[in-house]
Amino acid sequence: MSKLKPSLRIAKREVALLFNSSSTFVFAIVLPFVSILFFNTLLSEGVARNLPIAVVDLDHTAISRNVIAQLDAAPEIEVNYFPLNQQKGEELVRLGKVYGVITIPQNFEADLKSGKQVHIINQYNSNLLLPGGLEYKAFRKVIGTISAGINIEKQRKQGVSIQQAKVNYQPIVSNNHVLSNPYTNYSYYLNTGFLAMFFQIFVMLTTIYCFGADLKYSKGNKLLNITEGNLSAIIIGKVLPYTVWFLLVGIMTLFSMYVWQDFPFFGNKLAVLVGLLLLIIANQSYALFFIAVSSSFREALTIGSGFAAVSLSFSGITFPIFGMPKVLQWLSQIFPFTHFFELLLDQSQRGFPVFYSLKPLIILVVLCIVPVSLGWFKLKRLFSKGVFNHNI
Amino acid sequence: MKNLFKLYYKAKISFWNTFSTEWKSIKSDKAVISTFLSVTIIILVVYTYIYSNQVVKEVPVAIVNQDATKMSRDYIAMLDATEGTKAISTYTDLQEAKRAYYSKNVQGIVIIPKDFEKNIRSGKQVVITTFSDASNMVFYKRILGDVTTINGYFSAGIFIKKEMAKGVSVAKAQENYTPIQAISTSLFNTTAGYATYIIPVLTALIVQLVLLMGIGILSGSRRETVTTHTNFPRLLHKGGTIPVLLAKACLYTAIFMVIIPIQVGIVYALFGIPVRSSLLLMYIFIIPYVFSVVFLGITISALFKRREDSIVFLVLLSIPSLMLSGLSFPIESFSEFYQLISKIIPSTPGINGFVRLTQMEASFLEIINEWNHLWILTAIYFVFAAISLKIRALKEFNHLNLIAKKEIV
Repeated sequence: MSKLKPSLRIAKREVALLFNSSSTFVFAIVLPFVSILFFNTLLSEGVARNLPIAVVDLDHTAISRNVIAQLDAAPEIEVNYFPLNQQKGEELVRLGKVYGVITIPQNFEADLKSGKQVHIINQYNSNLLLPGGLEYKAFRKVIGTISAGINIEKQRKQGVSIQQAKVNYQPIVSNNHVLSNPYTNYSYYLNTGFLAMFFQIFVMLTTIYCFGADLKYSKGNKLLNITEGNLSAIIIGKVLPYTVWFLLVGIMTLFSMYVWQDFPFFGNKLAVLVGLLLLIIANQSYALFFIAVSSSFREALTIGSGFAAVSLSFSGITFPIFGMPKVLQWLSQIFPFTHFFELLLDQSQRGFPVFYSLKPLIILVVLCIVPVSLGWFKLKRLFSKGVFNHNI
Repeated sequence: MKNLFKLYYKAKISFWNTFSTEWKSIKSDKAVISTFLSVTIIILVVYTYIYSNQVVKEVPVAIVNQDATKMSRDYIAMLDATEGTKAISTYTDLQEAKRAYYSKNVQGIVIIPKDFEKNIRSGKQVVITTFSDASNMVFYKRILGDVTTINGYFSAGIFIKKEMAKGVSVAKAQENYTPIQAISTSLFNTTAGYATYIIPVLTALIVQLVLLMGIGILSGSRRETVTTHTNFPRLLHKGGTIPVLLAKACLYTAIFMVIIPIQVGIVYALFGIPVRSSLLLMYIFIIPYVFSVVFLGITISALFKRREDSIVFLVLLSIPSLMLSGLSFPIESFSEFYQLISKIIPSTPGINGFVRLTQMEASFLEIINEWNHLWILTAIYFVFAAISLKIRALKEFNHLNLIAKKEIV
């Protein structure tokens, strides 16, 4: 017990400081909840519906109007504009008012009735990947269905039964099982990443703040005096209260996703909790490393916040790691978030057996130990000096 | 008349003084310089490099071939030949494929049923079963998209062959199969490349991020050293904030007029990201963007006590402002509250306008709405910034007077 006493004093001091310093209080206590609230409410829709599109109808017949009605009935899109020609339609795209322009050519009905092949042209904005892709998919589906209907009708006129006509039209169909996220809900996809990423940014920043603020104002020596020169006691005393607190915040974050928002969860809860704890410790370990190698509080914060922010892109949520250049694939492995995110997805939406999550857990343990060990001697020197090299 | 001239003269002096003072503080502050350089150039290059492959190719898919006939092998070969998927057909049963999926060797599973060829030849429908993992949308879209395309082609091939057997010509059979042909052309970013999509967005977002950070750091250090009113002495006079604010905004605009060509000219060229507008139009567009962000920065820097605080808050702001800009998830799907919030952040019109200008070949008239929106924000934040600076200068002045009085007493 006597060995733990200095740590306990530091921890008490830390908690008192937390309620005195407004910035740390905001990072550690206010902002995590703001972020939970923000992301959970922002994407509460999850699935994009009724994206505005424009239709240029050059035919003006019953069939062309029928096509428009069917396009409008597709859940993804909504026909909002009827420009007079294609140029006007493209202008609407550039103005950002619609995501695509569909043109029905002249003589559409007449050609169709006389058995000629007709074209419908869709110009869509694939610069906006998500809505552009949805518009493209909806267009293909609607026109494909109409076209199939006509094909089947033609076959029936030749005396083929409707069942056989359908089979003739589509000898191969696919039965698609969408795993993990069956409604392709973007909230499941993006929120899991954003909330976990913001969470680890808060852990990183709070840790850098609680050390940096002391070292900026030359309190390093004072801390060493309390613990009689024992660095690990300082670290434990300062870091442990936040580890416990962020574990609680992390559980609330997960709770907001899997209970409040009802995201799919099929995996092992314990594995996720262990992963969460390791994510917190790994980030604290990295934070200590950044403090050790920086020459000022500001520098440590810039590096730390940059590291934590970039880890989103390296986790493969926006663009899979698989598709990155090789060097970056290796680099992505040093981010604790990459491994935690993999673990979280495997154990929540994907519902993998726990065995397959051992690898990320082991890597997380390594990432907890290595950074702080690398920075240990520098950290020791820094504390005995008591202040950063530079003040800016 | 004389008074007016005097006023103009004083304002002019104050303008140039502010311009040089601010430039000197930027130059002498290692933190600000490094923020400007690292974020505008290094971060942009790193992000572009991450996404430089643009699209995901050859996603591995496990094929469980229960049929093992020539036709099923043709089907697999067709699937393998697509850009998006790589068909790995070494799995004998579903269990084995499942284990490969668990260990992430494959991202999806396709099952070709028994009697695939036999049923097709006898005119029965066959069902291909696919499993794709939607916890990553990129993989899911690739696999499902390719399987759907190949199914379509394969079905059409069979239909056309049957028609031909009846004596119909190929062309006529094709026309019979698809009475209405759907032709899709993408107007911009034809390969749907990720870098082409995200990098212009980031370029515009970085303008806001860097400016807010830089201004926050500078204002934080002036606050630490209580030098706001001594650096800009005209602040204490009536109307004195106007030249100070204008000078700051002009200085930062000038800085970005140097940075933007470097970003667009070097980074974009290096990674092959298209630029479809002239530099002049970009300059005209970013003037109100930089102005509004500078004034917003001055307004919110009143919240930061220490220079470090600003870095942190602004890093946190960047992802929400990216989301709210509506370019990743369509803005139509946000609630009205968030649509409103998005309108008061300069990056929303800033990103939208910049992307449309450089990527969608919009003329200036087509982005005039965003441009006007930015000017309105500029006006609003100008008022707030003026109030915030004035209060700050007065506070500091009174504070110092108080100390001076105490010392005298």
